[in-house]
Amino acid sequence: MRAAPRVHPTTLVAAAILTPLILRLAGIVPAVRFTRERIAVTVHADYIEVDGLYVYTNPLPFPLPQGLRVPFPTDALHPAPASVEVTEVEPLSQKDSEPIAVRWVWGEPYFSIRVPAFGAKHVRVRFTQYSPQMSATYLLTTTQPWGKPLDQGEYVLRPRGVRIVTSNYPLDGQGCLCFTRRYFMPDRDWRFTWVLQ
Amino acid sequence: MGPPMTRAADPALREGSPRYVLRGARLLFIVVSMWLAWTSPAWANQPPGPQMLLSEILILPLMMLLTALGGGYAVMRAANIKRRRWLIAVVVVAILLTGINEGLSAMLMLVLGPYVIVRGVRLALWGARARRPPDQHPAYLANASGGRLLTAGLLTCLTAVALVGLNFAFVGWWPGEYYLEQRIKQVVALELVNANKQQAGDAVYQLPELRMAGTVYDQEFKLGPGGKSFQARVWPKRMPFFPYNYLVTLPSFYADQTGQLRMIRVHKPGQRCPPNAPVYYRVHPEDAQAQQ
Repeated sequence: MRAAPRVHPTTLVAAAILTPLILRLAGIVPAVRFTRERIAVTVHADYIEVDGLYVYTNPLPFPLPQGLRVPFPTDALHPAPASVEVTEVEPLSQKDSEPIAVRWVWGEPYFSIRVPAFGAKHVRVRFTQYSPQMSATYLLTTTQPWGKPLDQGEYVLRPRGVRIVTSNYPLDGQGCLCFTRRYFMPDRDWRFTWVLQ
Repeated sequence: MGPPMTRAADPALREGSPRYVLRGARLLFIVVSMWLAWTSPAWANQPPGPQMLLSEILILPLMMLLTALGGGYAVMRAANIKRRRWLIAVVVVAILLTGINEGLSAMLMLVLGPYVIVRGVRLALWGARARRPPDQHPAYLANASGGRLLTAGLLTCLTAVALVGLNFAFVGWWPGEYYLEQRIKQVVALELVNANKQQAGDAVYQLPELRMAGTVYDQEFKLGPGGKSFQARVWPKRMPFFPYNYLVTLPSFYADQTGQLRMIRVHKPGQRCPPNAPVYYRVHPEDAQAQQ
């Protein structure tokens, strides 16, 4: 008869404590919460400029590092941008404070942030995407892996010499081509098209 | 202290066998760490994910895995070498503390790397001794497999060197290609705007006054005959050292008087973008006012 494998109690306790810590550290289980975003897309004749403001909060009493990446919806007609700009943002003034290093690893930009204990980090991501066919997509369904809906999401289109023709999310905001959602867990990405004015 | 006597009856659980040593919480720790390091979740648009912590997360579990597979733990027990189980907790806390800063991460790797290399050398030396005739090696190597120990030791050393190198290859490496791209757009737009100010059909381009490249990139700006055309290229001249340059890419640009920006992503320094590379942007007059 085979005896049960002997495991040192210290090892068990260490594994019970360390496994969830490692899961969070590695970013597989998000260490921070993704709570809010404000996306402004400036639409030009053959390209879009995306200006995304993202807010991450830390519910824990110690600062947390968090790795993040920025994928793009790409196909033959929508090539990936050559670069992205990532900056920290002052929460009150909403002005850029300092740039964050971005590295393209295996074809996608990665960066890391540090969210203070019981605090929030505001991050701005900017990029330009060539869209000669006058259509574009902004990825919204990527909120799902965070496991919780956004407290609030604001999405704005700013046409420059063009007219927005379609948007699969109704642009029902007041006084702007925009929409706002609370407790938002998107089930589809945001697609829109335009024509020259 | 040796294992319970009942295990001796089960050949699969004899000292030094993988089933014996890979068990319980240690197995869980190793497997979870491997999974964390190698899985790439299909999370998009700023999902969480491991980055610079990869080497720190991996180095100890890999050492433990190779020690186990080589039969090193059985030898350690037979040699009555005390194991430091609390070390895992210390390392995880250290990763938590140093993960906020790349420089601190590198310093931690300077401690972990030699520790793992020492383990690897020890395994390899045990392996070399165990390959001698039985009367020429110590009693604690009586049941050890010299080939397994030697292989595991060498792999442990290689792993440590590779992971420490991974950490150092990227510390402080920030090419800042966004600002470079804005500068290229600005230079090309200025060329086009200035040429358009001249009489139609008589556009002449000139060498740009703005430099496009910085410390990480190099540039070339060529005027065609009579200044009727131009070719601009910007390419990376510094990348992380081999083989880590194959983990990352930098853009290499090409532009000419058509206003089209072309780009390829490259792994090696000095790779120039060809004129037939895919177009990813068309320069507009407003790019001339780009903020730097």
